[in-house]
Amino acid sequence: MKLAYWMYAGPAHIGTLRVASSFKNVHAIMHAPLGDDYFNVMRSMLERERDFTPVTASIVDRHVLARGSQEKVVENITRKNKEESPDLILLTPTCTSSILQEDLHNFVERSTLTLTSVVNNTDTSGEVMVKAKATRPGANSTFYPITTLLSKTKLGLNAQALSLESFIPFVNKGNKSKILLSTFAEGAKYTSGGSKMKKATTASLNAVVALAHGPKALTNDQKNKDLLFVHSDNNYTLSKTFDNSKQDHRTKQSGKKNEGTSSAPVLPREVGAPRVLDLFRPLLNLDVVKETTSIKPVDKFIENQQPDVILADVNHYRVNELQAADRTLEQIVRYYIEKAKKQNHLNITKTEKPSVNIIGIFTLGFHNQHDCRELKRLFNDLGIKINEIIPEGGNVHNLKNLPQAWFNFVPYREVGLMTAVYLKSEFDMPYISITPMGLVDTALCIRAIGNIITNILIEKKKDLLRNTIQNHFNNKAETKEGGSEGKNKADILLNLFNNYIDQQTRFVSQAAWFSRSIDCQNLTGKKVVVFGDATHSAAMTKILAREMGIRVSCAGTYCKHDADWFREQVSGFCDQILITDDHTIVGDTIKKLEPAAIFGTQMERHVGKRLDIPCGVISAPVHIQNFPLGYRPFLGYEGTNQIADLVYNSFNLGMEDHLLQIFGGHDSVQQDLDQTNIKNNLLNEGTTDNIVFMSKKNEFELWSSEGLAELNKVPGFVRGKVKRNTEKYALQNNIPLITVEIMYQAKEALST
Amino acid sequence: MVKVVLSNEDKNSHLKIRDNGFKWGGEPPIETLYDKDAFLCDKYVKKESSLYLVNVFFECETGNYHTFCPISCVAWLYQKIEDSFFLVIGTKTCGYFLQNALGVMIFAEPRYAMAELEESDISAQLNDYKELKRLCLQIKQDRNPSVIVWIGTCTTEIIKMDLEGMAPRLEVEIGLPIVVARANGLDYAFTQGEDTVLAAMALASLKSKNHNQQLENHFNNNKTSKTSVSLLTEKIEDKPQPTEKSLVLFGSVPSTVATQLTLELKKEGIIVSGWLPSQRYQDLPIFNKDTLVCGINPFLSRTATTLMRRSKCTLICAPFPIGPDGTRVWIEKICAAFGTSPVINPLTGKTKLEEREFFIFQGLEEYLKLIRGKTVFFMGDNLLEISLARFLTRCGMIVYEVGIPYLDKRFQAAELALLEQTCKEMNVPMPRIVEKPDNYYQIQRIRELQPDLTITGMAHANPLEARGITTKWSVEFTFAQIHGFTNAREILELVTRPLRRNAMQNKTLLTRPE
Repeated sequence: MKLAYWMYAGPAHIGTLRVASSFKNVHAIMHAPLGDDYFNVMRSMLERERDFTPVTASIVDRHVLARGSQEKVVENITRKNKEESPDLILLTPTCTSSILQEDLHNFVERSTLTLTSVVNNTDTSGEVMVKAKATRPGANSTFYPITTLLSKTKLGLNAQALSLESFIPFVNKGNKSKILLSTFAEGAKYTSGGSKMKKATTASLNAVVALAHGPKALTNDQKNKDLLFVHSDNNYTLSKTFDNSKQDHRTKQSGKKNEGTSSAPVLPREVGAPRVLDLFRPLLNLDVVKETTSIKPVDKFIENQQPDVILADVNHYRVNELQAADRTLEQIVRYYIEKAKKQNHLNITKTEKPSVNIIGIFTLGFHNQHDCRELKRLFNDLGIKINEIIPEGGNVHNLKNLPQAWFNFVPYREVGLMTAVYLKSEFDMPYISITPMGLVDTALCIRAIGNIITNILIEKKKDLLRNTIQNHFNNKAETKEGGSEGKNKADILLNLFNNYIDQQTRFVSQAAWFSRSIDCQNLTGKKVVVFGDATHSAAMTKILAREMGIRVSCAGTYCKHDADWFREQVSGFCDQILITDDHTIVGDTIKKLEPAAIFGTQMERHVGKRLDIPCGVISAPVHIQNFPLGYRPFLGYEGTNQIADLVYNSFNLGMEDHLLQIFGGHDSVQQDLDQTNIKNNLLNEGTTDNIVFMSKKNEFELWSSEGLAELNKVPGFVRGKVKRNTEKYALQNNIPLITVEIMYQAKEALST
Repeated sequence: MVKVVLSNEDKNSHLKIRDNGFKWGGEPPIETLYDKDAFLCDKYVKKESSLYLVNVFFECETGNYHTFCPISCVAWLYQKIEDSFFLVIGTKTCGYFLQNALGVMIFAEPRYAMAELEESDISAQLNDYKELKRLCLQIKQDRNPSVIVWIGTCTTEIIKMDLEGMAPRLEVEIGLPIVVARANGLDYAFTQGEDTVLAAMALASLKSKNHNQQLENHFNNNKTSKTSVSLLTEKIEDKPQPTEKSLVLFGSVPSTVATQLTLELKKEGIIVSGWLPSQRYQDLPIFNKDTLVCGINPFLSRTATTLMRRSKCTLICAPFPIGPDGTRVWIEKICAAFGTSPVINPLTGKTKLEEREFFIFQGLEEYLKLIRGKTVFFMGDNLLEISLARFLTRCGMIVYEVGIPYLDKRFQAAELALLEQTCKEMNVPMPRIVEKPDNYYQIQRIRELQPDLTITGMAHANPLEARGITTKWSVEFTFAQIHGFTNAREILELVTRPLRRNAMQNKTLLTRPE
């Protein structure tokens, strides 16, 4: 037994349910007592989900306990099949019901049998039944969101817009129609939402480059022409970008907001950013935008008239939420791959053009939706087709297509790595699990992608390689064509990737420039503490140390199962490594180190509030504040901007802090406020801290009047710290009275 | 859809199942039925309630519904009982629920914690007693509470951890009273957690009286531990033994609300001699056969049973003091139980209570304007539904359906009667009352009925709003101050908020040029 107040990672079934509810048309049945089903609340509230969470609790109560749960579980599975006709029904127990040691495998088999017999019955009644079922868009009695209903009744667009207004009352006029359209597009997938969406968002020009580097970009234009050609089918030209660069910044922002609200799998193409490496674009017949929006026909009613039923196989007492999510995702993927193998449906031919699976984007993840969009943009820029994204928005029947991608991409190592490893061992698919967070790691990641693609091209796709090279250089590369050695070609290709990195780093991302700016200089050497999941904490530590010159006093993670990797990643970038899942240890460490800022989870944010230290939230677990409506990725080049903003805004006042130091501080805060500050500190420290306790008792005995007067000149937000440090110093050196001199002695002693 | 028709006649054989496989889907097993004599109902209510039960159909869907886990009661109980510490003995799932449901409370150093059961506990490799002792000693040392409340969960039920057996031994050993409440989701829903804790405290009160002598003997034998347990005995001696009829109210409300209700009763000349729970555990009231008890929350049926059967108290059967109408009748019933009649204003000839009710309703007019004639649907969550439905009916709303996780028809008899009477007086049909509703079917019904307002759990709020259904979280009524005359405004403030928001937004949108 363990006395516990709070935990970083949740119980196993939460992870399982997060994976299950991320997939489209998958229903989870939770075998659990009343009250264990708060996952529905979490998802509905935090993700502001418009649809009912596809999780049903098959309630275990006293009567069920007495009778055994089989009947109830099987009944619920068959009922859900009737009501929602999902592709997959995933059964999961919770910590509580798993100790009942019921044969849930058997329940699953039973229900599969029941479902089969139902389907057989319908088969006898002929095709009509099946067809009727198929024509119904979804469940027989599903209660659609308004948007969908409207689209079905074929009201005019105006009418739709009018009734939709009630949903979004606070937007200004300019943006309204766009949001309407995107809302509409999201809700009503049956209309050609994608194209409208695109129309709405084409206005949102990413003018970052042009704004910041107008004159430079012009020369860049020249550069582009040297290296690559600008394709006429791209619906932008550089000149257009510059025209629009005058557009005010707010348009861009609002445009982005627009896109952020829609979680539909639509990739609005960012027009402004120079797509430096449109490597394979001319060869891709389909535009990526179309590719991702078009809903692949689900051949469920042809090949699969009954849902699959799986029992999530997780030990609820040994693994946490993240491990369980990883495990469940692998289990589902393995199930469908094996199934396809058995039915000889498995197609392992690689796609014609470079393609990728993104594994591990899922619901309730930290900024996952935003990151996903940024990743789509990144791959789009690189000319890499996205084969599948799982689990978020994925269709389980498309899982058999996973092996067709050239490689797998795991953005967060907590979830998805097991799947990638499985696919690697099964199909020898390479995978990348370098998180593209921060400029350095993003570059690293893109280079790794470049290597994989180059290798595959050289080994397997010689034709495509030749075409690519030809296509890119047909105007001028006669000479290069002659010496077509593999190595040479590889260099050319890798060079293209490097150029892309260079372009993005210098002109798209503002973070590199920020690192060089005078603003960032003021952050140099400030102490911070970083804590979070392994992925985000490690990446953040490296960004702060490498890219901003901030001193990371302590980097830590609660992913104890990933401790070795974490140590390896952050060693050399921080003074101290902390691996624990006990929030009190983290809190104590922060208190002891007194950093200028914290980057952590919701818990560290609250620790920071208590200690009056600012905190930027960089990792789950988070509260609803970290499910922003706007576009806030942490990955990719836009992510670097967001992170730089977060870091800069997290520090107390940023620039103002520095100015206060220069000019000695205005300190207009009243004395009584300072007193309350000090008092608060005293309260927080409690009586365990002898020094502080003493200072409370003997404030006027310990400090000389001049000393106190001097202390009051110190800016309010560091006064407590200075006071404590000075007192500590005095105590250690047996100094009975703190004078102004002693104060500065203490300061010197501490700074050496 | 399962439809089970219940009436008074087949109360006990009530769950006749139509087409799902369950032969049984009724109440959690409250161990006993009510002792009929212990009810103190005046004739009017008796007649009305029996009439009512014959006439009105209840349904029990026995469906898949969602409410919070009953362990969430620690959220408000630890704040109410200021010298307590709540130890929830359960798994990571329970802990994660608490931290999500109670949100940021953890940062205020709450007086509750989880005793998280690990694999070694489940597989009985460790000794429960030793483990709990270790944790309780730690709590005693760190927080020094006057009582530790053990909250049993589904897990302790399933592994059959003998909490009730361990507690008496341990409380002697560590010198702190331990109250054991089984607030598990197998038997109870959401607010019933409070019921289990209060029932346990009522028993503890009884036990401390009975075992007073035994404890003293024990202390004499072990003189070393005498000082540490002295509070157990002091408490008993301090209490004046009531000889006349005394009134104890049970149900947890913030102390300001408790004061308000106490004062309302004082106006009618009735002195409240104690509250269960009180601000401090040491002020636990004494119950005996001369004690009249009355509940203020509709979900406290088990506490009521315990007080009647074990402590031999007399239960005053009254509606609950929610809304001015309910509060008035509640006070009237208590007056009747004490054999007094409400004070009459000589100028008007009406009782002061009636005048007060009228006056309060008058003050609410600005809210009433917004809801009169509007329809409301309760999906069912916190067992306050019947009382709220009754008050909203009185306010002029039409209630379509009252979903409720569990309905004790005896304990809520007076409330049900008042609901029926209110419906008659307001000339609206009786709402359909669905016990253990099935959320999926409810959503189909909401779709059909399109109510103006749906009071629902958090899981369904956003999806319903997305479908054009105006919602309000039911959980807000659990945490808001809704009891008594004064707080009626609070209820309507909550009820009308979504309606006001929609009105404001529509206005903004309509007046915008374009």
